[in-house]
Amino acid sequence: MNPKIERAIYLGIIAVLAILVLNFGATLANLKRELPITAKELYDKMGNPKINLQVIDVRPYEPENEDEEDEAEETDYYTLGHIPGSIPMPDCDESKTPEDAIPHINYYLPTVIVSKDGNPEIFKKCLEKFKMAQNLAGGIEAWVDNDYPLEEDEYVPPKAGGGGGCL
Amino acid sequence: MSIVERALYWVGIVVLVIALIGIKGNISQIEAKISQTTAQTQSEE
Repeated sequence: MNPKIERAIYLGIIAVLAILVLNFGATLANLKRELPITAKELYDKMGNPKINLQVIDVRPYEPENEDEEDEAEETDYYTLGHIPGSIPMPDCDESKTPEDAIPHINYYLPTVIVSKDGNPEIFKKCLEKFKMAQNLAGGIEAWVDNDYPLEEDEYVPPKAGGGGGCL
Repeated sequence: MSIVERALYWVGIVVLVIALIGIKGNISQIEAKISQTTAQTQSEE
């Protein structure tokens, strides 16, 4: 066979295979985004300082008045109970986010979205902003059900130079 | 075309086929997990 034709055939096969690998890779990445992360998986990942992970809490930040606070459960508001190190971003909306928290939100980091019960609607909204986001299955309620640690009070930005796992 | 060049093309093809099979396997696993999670969510509702 003419070497030029043979070479062209090999290159053609390799090109087709490479395109298929890229397409399947993109499908895999999209599917991974749809797959929610469980509370246990998140807890394990947060305990591993080698894994760079951002946790965004999309529940309302704090009760508006004392009556609301009296009636609220710890899973209703960020300030009443949140995953240690999580960043508040109510409704995935920057305009509702505390000013201290805005500079710490990175839209390009692997991110876990925490809502009250794993609401897929809010997660879809967050997917428009965060490039690599996963939903916490069952939301903060699943985290509490597993007796994993919770922090109370307002968001405190991390100190400069701090590092390591947050659990 | 030399034997070495031909061998390199075959190596490339085999590597890509293995990658393709690996990714396909991962996709099937994740699809199964997603359908399992969806079924769980629906039964909880």
